Amino acid sequence: MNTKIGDEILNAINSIKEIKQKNINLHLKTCTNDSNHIRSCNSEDVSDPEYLELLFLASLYDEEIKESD
Amino acid sequence: MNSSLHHKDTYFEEQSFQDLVDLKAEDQKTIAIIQISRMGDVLQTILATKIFKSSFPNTNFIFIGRIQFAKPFEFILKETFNHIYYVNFPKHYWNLNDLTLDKLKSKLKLFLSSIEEHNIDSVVNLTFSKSSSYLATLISSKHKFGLIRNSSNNLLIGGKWSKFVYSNVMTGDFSPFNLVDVFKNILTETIEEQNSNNSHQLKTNNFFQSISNTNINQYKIIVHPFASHSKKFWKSSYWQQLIKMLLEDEHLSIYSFVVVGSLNDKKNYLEFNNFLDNYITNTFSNRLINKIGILDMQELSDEINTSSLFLGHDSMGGHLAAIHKVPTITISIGSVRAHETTPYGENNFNLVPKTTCFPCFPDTPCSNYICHLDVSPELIFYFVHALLSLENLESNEIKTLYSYFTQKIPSTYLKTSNIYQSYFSNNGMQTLSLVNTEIDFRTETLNIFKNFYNILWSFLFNDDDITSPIPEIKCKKIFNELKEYLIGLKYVSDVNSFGEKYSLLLLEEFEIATPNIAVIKEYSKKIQEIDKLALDLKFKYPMLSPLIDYYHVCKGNLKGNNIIQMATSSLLNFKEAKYSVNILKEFIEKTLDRSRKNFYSENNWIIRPEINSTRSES
Repeated sequence: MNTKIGDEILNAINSIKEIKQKNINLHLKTCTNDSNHIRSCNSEDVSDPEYLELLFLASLYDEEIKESD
Repeated sequence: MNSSLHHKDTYFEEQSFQDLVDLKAEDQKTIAIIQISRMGDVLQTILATKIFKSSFPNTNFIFIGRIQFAKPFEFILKETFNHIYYVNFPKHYWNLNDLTLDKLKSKLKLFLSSIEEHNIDSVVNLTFSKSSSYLATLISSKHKFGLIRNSSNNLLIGGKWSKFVYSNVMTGDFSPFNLVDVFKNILTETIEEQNSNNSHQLKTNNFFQSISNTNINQYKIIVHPFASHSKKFWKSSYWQQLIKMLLEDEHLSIYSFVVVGSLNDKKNYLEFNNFLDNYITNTFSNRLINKIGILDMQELSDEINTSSLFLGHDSMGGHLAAIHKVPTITISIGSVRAHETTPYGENNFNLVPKTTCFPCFPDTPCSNYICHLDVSPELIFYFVHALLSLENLESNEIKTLYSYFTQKIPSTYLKTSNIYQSYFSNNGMQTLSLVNTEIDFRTETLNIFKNFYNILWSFLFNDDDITSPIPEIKCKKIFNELKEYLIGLKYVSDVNSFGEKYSLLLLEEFEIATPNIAVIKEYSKKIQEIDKLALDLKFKYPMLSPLIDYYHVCKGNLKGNNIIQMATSSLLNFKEAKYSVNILKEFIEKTLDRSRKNFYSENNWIIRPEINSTRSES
């Protein structure tokens, strides 16, 4: 991202991702210990609307910039 | 464990919208349509919604579009949509100095909350882009169609027609359907649970018949020589040549030509503008009118509405003409797919190149634009001349037109292009029919398959019974190619049989008192391998990729709230895929049987396939 606001969105996404990463790692540990657990544990949790909003803004930003180019 | 299986297992806990049948009565429904693509898509969405609304007049519609592409059409949007919302974050907005993330988030929250005040029943995302998938997810509604995200950020595609778009329209030139029909069908899926009695057969023809245009100047032709991408429109010297030919032909002296375009077109194509201005001043002041850069969208719409013909490339202009039921001639080059984008309606013509690489993708690198040479100014001139000389187009059957155009257009120009004419088939969907003589060895197999897929998808998705004569092949190369595809279909069928087998074994394992996780993992792995095998087959048999891709996307969106339901859905998906394979196999076998006799007689290879004569019969 090549503008101030673009970087700001990216930073916000990354900081949320960091927190989520910790949660995912914990979750993975649970998975390994639970032999009956057959679900994937490595997908990204986007149930938080705030995070989803940031992802929308980031993708819209990319598309607007690309479109204009 | 098969990755596609466990993805579903996670997200269908939250997203089982297809199973939630709690629809309000049709006349109380509120549908929010997301169309944040470009102007052409906005107009195709408007047309689809207008047709839908003519059958379901009491449905409330909300339109959500990007401000720069939708706002210019607000005067048309207002006719169909009860509420219009603009995603107002254009490029310059992101560069504002005082813009902060908090401001951005507040603006978005306000936007979303205003939309949600309408108590939306269904969100229909017709855009298929990344941002639209997030937007559709963010808007609360009972049902969602088109691209959305699940809570694990995986793509989730609701509805058969949306899966079709994702697997067939986004991937190549295999779709036999106009995008207006596809959008119309996606909209219809929002009400089909309640209206099982052929609700999909919307009153397309009635809708068009209801448009009456009393202000037509029958001698005014609109020329729009631009498009959104340089790949999609001729260099200006071609247009100069064509305009000269049209003006200088004495048989066309009663026609005037109004050239239209945007302010940017005026700035970017100064040489062309100078040509027009000089030519007008010197020779044809009363018959050539340059309105490039001086009309707003409403004025352009009025200008098109009072004309008798629209001539241009694939762009929003043609779709605007379609909304006003003005006949169109489209020159489709570059990345344009005629079947998807021909202006919607009857008797619209589309001229497309036969160049091997046509149609490409917008981002395919290309420096020489060979396909632009195929559809020459001379061809367009002869075609326009022939069409305007035709006394009553609608009374002519396709066979008569075929013979007419081949007499009127020198064969040299026909060799490099295909000319398509649009008509509505008996299920109310637009279809294209070839009207030129030259058989196109490159695209003939593709055209045959497109016709097969038209029948197959119409039947599977809408239960439409489309009849079409069995094509007769007199080209040995195509005959042999079809024979090869029979082998390909057998492989696809075998792969799906294995899928059925392992889905069944999984279900059997689940039924025992203590299922063995290792066995379940083994079977799931097999299913994963089977999915990969199917995808590999499409590289050897490219015409089968629409079928393979469609069921692959279905596989990625299996219904079910637990692993047993998922395995059951997987089994049903493999079964339906096999069923579709058998239908295609039968079509090919019948075609080969019918054509076999041709190879015992003389080498009469060039024919007009009978597939093109369906218009008169339907």
